[in-house]
Amino acid sequence: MKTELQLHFRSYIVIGCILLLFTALFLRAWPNRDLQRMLIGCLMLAYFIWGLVTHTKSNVLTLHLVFEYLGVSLLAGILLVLVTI
Amino acid sequence: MSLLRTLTHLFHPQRSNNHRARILHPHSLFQLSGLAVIFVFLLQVLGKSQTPMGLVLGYATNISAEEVVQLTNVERERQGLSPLTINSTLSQAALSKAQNMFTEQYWAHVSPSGNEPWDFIRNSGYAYTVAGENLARDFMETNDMISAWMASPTHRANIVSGEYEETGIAVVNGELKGTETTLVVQLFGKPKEEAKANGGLIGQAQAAVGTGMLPANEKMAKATFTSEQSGLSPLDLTKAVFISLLVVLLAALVYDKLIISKKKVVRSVGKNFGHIMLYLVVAALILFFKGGIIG
Repeated sequence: MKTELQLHFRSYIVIGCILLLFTALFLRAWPNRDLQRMLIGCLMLAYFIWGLVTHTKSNVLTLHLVFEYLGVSLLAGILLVLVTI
Repeated sequence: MSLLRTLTHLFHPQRSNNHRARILHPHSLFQLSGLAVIFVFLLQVLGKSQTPMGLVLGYATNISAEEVVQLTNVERERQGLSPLTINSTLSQAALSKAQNMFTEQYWAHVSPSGNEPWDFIRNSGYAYTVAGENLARDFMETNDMISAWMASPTHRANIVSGEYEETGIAVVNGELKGTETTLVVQLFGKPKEEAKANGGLIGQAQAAVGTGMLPANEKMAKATFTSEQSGLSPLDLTKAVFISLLVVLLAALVYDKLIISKKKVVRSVGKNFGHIMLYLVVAALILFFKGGIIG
């Protein structure tokens, strides 16, 4: 586990910053539900792109991986959107 | 035995699931997304029904008009403004507006039949030079409702407007478009000078957001259209189910990582740490998500 963190330290810093920024903006957007949903969409897209870029750099990008990041982003986004309804 | 095999296939990285817990496969993630949508849809349908489930789901609010008034005046005091006083005629107008929203089934400043906030104020006999209206629904706590209003420029403008002198508030429980809810209507006004003497009325009006305030010596407009209320709101149930799902996924990711680290299997899958970070953030946001809508 430690090895993977060290190997992809920059990637995790990037996604950590994205998640922190999203959290701050999401909380700040309250009670504007529309803005919150827009931010959720941005997060889904950002996470998906982050996954693809990270794996592209490692030269191990496969169709299965693309679907995995799509699935993870979609699930996270849908769960958040559904609580804002 | 079959159940154990299924669970193992779902959560334990092995040959049968290509050394990746089945629940973490893209197919499973898409299915879980679909199930989440179906769950919320069913919850909404059941919430509107008279089934045992529908009767259990409800909306219990801790909003108190006295607290709304108190917090409104706290916000005004911070701006160096004088506190609002409660006006029973305005409270009656707020109650009429709330009842009208349930009767005509709408959530807006203007009713489908064209009634504006000032119509309710005017009909109650309150004569004003300036008036405003703040609406809120589905809030559990008064604090959250006031915070939401203060976070919205237009609603905030009503609460901390130096033009208003009086307020009226109604907290009404009822069913709006099939969902049990608590509506809060707060009206603001500055009485017309001559109206104080002869009951004349109206001038310029503006709509905004806000909640009401209510001194203890004034009657608050509070009504209940439906009496069946419980502490389990659809939002609470949704949050509980979604957080449980995320906990399962997080556990599966951590377990998957530990097992694969020991087995030293080479495979091409996503970054577990990335997924864990994302799910942790989503779980935290869902956990602390505040319900309530202002208008």
